[in-house]
Amino acid sequence: MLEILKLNHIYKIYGDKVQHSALKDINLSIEKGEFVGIMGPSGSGKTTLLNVISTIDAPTSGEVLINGENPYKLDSSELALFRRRKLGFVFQDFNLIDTLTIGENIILPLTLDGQRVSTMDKKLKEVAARLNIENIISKRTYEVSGGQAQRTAIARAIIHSPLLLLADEPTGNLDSKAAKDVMELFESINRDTGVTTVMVTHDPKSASYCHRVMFIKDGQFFNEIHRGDSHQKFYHEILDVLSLLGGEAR
Amino acid sequence: MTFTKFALNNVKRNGRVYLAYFLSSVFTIMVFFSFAVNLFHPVIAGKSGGAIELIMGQTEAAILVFSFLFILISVGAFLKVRSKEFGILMILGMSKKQLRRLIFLENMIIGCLAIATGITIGLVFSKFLLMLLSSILAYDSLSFYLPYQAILLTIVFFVLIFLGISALTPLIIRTNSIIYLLKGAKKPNREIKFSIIQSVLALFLLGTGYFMAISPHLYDINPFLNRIVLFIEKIPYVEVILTTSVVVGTYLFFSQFSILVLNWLKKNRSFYMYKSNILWISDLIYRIKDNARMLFLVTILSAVAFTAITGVYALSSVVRDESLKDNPFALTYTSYSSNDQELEQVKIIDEMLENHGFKYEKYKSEVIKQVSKDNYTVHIIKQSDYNKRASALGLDLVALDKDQALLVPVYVRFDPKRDKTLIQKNISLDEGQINLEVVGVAPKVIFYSGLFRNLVVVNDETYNEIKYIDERYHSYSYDIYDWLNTLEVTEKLREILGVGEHGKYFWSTRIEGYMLENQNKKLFLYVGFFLGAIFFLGASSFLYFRLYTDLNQEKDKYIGLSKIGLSFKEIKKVASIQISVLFFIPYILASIHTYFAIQVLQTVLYSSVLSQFLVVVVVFLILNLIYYISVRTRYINYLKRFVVM
Repeated sequence: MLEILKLNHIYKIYGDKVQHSALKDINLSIEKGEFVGIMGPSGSGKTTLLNVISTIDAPTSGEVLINGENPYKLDSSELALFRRRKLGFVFQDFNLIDTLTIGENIILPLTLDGQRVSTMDKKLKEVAARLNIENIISKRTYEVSGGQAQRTAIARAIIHSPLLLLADEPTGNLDSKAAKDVMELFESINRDTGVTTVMVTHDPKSASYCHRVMFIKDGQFFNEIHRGDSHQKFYHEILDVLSLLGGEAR
Repeated sequence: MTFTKFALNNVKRNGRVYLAYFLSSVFTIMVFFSFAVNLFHPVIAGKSGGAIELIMGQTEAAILVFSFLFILISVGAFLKVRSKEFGILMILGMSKKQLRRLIFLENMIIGCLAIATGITIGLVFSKFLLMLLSSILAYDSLSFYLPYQAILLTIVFFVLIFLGISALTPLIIRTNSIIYLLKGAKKPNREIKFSIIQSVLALFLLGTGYFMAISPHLYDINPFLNRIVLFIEKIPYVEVILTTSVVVGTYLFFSQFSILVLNWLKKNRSFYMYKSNILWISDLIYRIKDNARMLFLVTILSAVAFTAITGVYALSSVVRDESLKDNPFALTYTSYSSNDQELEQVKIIDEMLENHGFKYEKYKSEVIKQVSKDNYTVHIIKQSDYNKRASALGLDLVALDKDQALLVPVYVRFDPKRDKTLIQKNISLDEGQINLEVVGVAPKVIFYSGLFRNLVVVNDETYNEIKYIDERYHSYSYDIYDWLNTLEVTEKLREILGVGEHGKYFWSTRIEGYMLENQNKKLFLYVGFFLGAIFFLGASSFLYFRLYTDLNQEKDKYIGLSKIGLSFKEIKKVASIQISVLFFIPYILASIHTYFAIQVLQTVLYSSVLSQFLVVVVVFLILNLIYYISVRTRYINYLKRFVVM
């Protein structure tokens, strides 16, 4: 199988006077088509880890390889191009651009890439249909619900068929119904398009949609569990590890 | 959606955020353009090389510099608000180049709209300014014209300004750290450092600047001080050093000294820990540190505005006074000895005045010019001629001995203690054959300012003994009671006599000097008020932009405080103290700066400008108070909506 993401001995240290290690010797290998969750208590470093993978926060030492390429060795314009073509992001607070309509938000990565308007329209149609948001594409961001906003963000993250889809607490701001919808979407997108997906979450329910879940604590690798056949069973296994981690998973 | 369309959508749909930026751009463009309309007006431009054109040109340049700063600060405030948006775009793969292009496109869209709007409003506004200007310059009327030059100038300069600002934006937003952009300005407040040396330096620089400014007024208090004053006088470019000293001192005052004071308050624990004091003091340290540059700029701008307005106000109110001092007589005609038409010309003047019903007294004096071998020129008048003039001017009469002399200043502002022509102790005439002891200095100019440099009064007998005579002038001065109405007569006389003839005769009137001064000073007044008003408005807007940007961040803090039990009354108090410090410290410092700046002005003017200074400072205090109250009310009402009560 093709290795899409590889982390080798990642360290991240903050501060000058008072040093604080956010990540200590993290290793991870993710193959094409995998759907991996990262969990851990508050301050465990899971968001820092995702930022390191997202190419927006360079590790203090260690190597990040995405599709065999180290993005931190690229210059800033190459890196921008890399993000634009190979990565897709979904955030907890959606991070849509208020001045644009839903449809314009979705095609933004293509706009930045200078693609033809006809191509944009075609892709928008496809992705909107897949995410069932065709009826809101001309609305503005403040006119849609949280679930619709997150669907828009997902559409924006996959319209350019990225190599790696990264999600930071995508269900954090949603009610349980909308969260379930969004996770089912992630699952189906991963299954149908084979996009490799990495998601940070504190919600065991959301995590149970992943193929495997990695746990970190105090910046270090703690445990890893794989999903079998059953959602329900995986959910309980996750809960078990979390209680082992000591307390609530936030 | 293409990239250009994207930029257009941003501008079109984000009106509220762009509005403040757009309006401040429109405002500066309008001011610049209206002024340019005046500058290029055919009547004014026709007087090329004149003082008016020069003053107006310099004013326009000052407005341009100000516009650049103003738009730069507006755009800075505006881009900071949007830093999260830029972070999102960069995470989606926007390159720095694309971000620059986006900001450039947006800037250009706003810029072009602002230029078009500014010029349109400016066209209406400039009509009003032209009316004002024509009444000031006493031109019949400056007709309205299509100011294509002004339009062109405005477009060219402001396109350049917007281009320049687009080029500077990478310095304003930190594109290197996406995380920083996403988290916005919510960085944790770090420890604030200050330097005691720099704080002391702030006071030292301000003190030095102030002392230099008042030094001419400290002369003759005690000998030690005199030496310092004379030393300062010898420093080349003393005004530049003085200004730099105050400007740098002001900057250090805000960035260092104010922090020192607040830290000192913090150390005074019984005060610091008393009720809400702890809140505003600890917060103010960060506020002032963050805003040091802005406070500095506001102070300097206000000081310039206050000084300009005080200066022009003072100039315009002393103009009549000054004309009287410069020209003690309403008309003075002077003839060379080679002019054989002297008596006829005097008769023409006499008759013209009589025909127009003016009552006058005529004083005739003879003045000898003597140039020594080493090229030193002296003018000599005899005691009896001097006394005739002195009695007309209400001065003490003199009775000199044969070997005594009295010196007469040639300019009003000559200081009898310091001017080198007036501190001579001895005068020697006829190549050393006549030696005179100086017994005093006349208190006033007795012809008019600039006529007969190095004028010496001698005893009539001595006068008659003078052998070396390079020229013998006859000077007739007319004391006309109703001089303010002599413009028409003067114009008629100019038609006959012209300005004079070289080596024959020349003549001068008070009314012409008065009219010219009056016009110039009214122009100063116009320009000064114009500049003062826009500088002050600009300074106030900087404060407003800053408060607007800080508002959201502050809101969260107050919500938190209200949850832990701080009453709204206390929140109001804390917020009021903070806003008032930001509003009034620059005002107070600017007023002090202005006080010392006008001391420099005072040495050029003859009368005291203190009352004008007080009027200006009080007027601005009232304006500032109104502005403060309205901002405070808005701010408190805004907080009221969010805090728990």
